[in-house]
Amino acid sequence: MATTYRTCPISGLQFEKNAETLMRWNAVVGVLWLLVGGITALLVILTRWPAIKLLPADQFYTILTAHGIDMLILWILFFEMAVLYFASSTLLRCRLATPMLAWAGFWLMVVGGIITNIAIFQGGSSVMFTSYVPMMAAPHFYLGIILVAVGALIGTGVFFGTLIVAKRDQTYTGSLPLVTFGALTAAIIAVFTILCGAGILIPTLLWSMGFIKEIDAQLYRMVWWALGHSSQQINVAAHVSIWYLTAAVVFGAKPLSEKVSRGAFLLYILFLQLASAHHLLSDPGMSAEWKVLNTSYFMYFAVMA
Amino acid sequence: MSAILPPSERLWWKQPIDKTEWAWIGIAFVWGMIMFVMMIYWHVYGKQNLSNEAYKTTPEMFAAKAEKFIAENTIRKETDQEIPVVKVPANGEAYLIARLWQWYPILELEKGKEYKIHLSSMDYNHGFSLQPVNINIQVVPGYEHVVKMTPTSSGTFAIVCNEFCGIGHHSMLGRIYVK
Repeated sequence: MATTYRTCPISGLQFEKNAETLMRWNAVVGVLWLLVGGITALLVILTRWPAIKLLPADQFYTILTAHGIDMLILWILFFEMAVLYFASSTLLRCRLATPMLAWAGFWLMVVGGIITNIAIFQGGSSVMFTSYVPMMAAPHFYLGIILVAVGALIGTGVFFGTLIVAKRDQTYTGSLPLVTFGALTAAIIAVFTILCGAGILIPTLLWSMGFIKEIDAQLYRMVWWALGHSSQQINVAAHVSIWYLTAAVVFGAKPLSEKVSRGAFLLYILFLQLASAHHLLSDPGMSAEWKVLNTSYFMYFAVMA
Repeated sequence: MSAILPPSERLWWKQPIDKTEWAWIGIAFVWGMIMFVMMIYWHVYGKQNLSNEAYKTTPEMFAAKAEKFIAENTIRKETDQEIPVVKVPANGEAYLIARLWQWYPILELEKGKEYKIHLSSMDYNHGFSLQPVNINIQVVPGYEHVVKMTPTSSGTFAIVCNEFCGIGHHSMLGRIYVK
């Protein structure tokens, strides 16, 4: 693919054509999932509202599952890809590393998202976002999420590749811009999150197909939350970066101190994962000391950040 | 120095930090320390606390122990499902089964006595939520969770399942009587 650039007349930012198309598609599909998530949210509210009580129990649990997956995985991850391509290609004024691979990742995510939604709306996979075992969903419920995760991992790889391209081609001097640094934080957390998700969802897929006899319910809860909680932290790191971006573009604001802002992102990467333990506070098997340590002392470093 | 451009100072990590920012870091750090101390304080002096006691089990093993306990201590049956009401010996141990979609049996406790309640699930992940006092404990299949409880007021308490467990989840209600 040829590399062509255009300069946005409003912001003065320089967009590379492949990267821009990818940003648009990822962002638009992300917002479409947000729309589905929003419609299902409305149905949830209208059912929980005692005076209306719109849906019967089975349909309610189905749309609640769809709401969780579409909002907390699909909308976040698709938009995240758009942010990553923007923070690398646009802010560093360079080409995207491998646009073809980025498109492959995008389509994997689209197909995966649709497959999981088909599984949910067929009615046999009303297992909620958490999908705690041994409550079993249809195999294609897990398969779809895994495809989305693989696609997102590819997108994250393209982002890392683009950082290398920019460094090699010397399209910027000195350190990465703060917004790109924040996006890098999000990408690092995304890699951890997706690998943990694969670590538990691939065995769960095999279990739902009958190849594995049993998955320990407590082990599932612990590993799953490394996906369930951290996936929301990808979003936090990305949206803090977007705050810096908005402030910079709209008001021409500058960070008080690069050192503090970057230090905060670093603390976030180092200590955030422990905070997932707050989902296990009332679980059997972990000691009170483990719970206190993981949810307080170290987590505060992440909260401070 | 803009957030969308490389830092204008090449050695940005050598720039001094502004007083206002130090103040915020100080506030966040002190607050974090207060909360950390509170967690330990609450663990030692708080009135509701978590149990460290849990064992690996199987639905069959746990059900056998629970059925023995129920057979020895049942005083009557209640509701159209004929659920046994079990009077737990004072300061004794009680077994509570969580299954689709029932808490079994109904426990009868005495105010001011300490009990050890053994919890496990026969099937999916369930959530023990005692209302209106709002005590919440995970009930995970394959694990026997032992929780110490001392009722401080008498009356009828409801057990609500607070972990989604399928189509009958919202109807999974149980009871504890405190005399």
